[in-house]
Amino acid sequence: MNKLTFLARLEKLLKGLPKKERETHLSYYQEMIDDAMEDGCTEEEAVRRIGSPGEIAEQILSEQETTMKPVSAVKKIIITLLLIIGSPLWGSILLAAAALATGLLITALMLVLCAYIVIWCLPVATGALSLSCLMLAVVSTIGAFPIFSGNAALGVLQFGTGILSAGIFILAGWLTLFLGKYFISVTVRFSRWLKHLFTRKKEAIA
Amino acid sequence: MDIQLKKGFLEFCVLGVLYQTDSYGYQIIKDISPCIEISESTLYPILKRLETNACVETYSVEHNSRLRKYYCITSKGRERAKEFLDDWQQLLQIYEFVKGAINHE
Repeated sequence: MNKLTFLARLEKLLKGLPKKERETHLSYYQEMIDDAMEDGCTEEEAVRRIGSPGEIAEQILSEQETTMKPVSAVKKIIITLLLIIGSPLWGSILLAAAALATGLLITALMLVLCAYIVIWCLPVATGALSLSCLMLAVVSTIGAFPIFSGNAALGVLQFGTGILSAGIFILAGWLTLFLGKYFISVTVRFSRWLKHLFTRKKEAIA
Repeated sequence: MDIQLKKGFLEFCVLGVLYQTDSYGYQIIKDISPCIEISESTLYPILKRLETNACVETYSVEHNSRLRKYYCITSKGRERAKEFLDDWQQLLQIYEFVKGAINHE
C-alpha cells in the first residue's frame, strides 16, 4: 500500500470525527511516513511500519471516547450568548407555546364550569319559578282583600291568582327539592370523575 | 509489559527525550525504541495527552518543503519528569512488595 492509499483509507474511516481533528491525525501519520522514507525506508515499508488503516482508526476512535471532555467554560459562555441572541426566535416560539398551554387550561376550566352550570340550570330554573310564585302568591292573596271591598269579582280573581301561585310554588318547590337532591348526587359523581381523571393523569406522568 | 503500565512509563520516556532537546514524532520513536517498544499509533495519544495537560507545546518547522511538527517540553512537563524520578523509591517498594509476596509462596 502506498502513502496516498493509506491516508485516503484512514480519512474515510475517520469521517465521524470533526474535520480539524481528522486533519491533525492525518498530518501526524503523513509526517511519520515521510520521515521514515527520508530515513531510508521504501514507501511500502514506511506504511507497513505504521499498521493497517483499520487498526489505526479503531485505536483513534477508542481513545476519542475515553478522552471526551465535559463542556468547557468558553463553550458554556458561547452557548449562553447564542441562547440570548437567539431569544427572539426561540423566545417567541416558547411564548406561543405558553400562550397555547394557558389557552387550553382556561378552556378546560371553562368546560368544567359549563358542565356544573348545565347540571344545575334545571334545579335553578325550578327554584326561581318556585320563589317567584311564592312572592306572587303572598302579594296576590294579601292584595285581594282591599280589592274585595271595591270590586268582588276582581277580588276573587286576584285571590284565585294568589292561590294558583301558591300551588305552583308548592309544586315547583317540591320539584326543586327533588331535582336538587338528584343533581347533588350527579355533581358529586361528576366531581369524582374529574378528580379521578386528574389523578390518573398525574399517575401517568409520574 | 502490561499495556496500562507501559502507557504510563512511555509518557515519562517522551518527557525524558524532550528534556534534552525539542524533537518530532519519528525521532522520538527512534530515541525511545532501544529502551522500550513503541509504535506510531501508541505515541500519538501520549503526545496529545501531554499537550492537553500543558506538559509539552508544539510548533511547526518547514523541512524539505513540508511541515514537521516539533514538540517542546514546558516547565510543567519538566516538573512532572522530576516527580517521576522522585517516585522511584515508592516504585521500588511496590516491586519489592510484590516480589516478596511471590517468593513467600
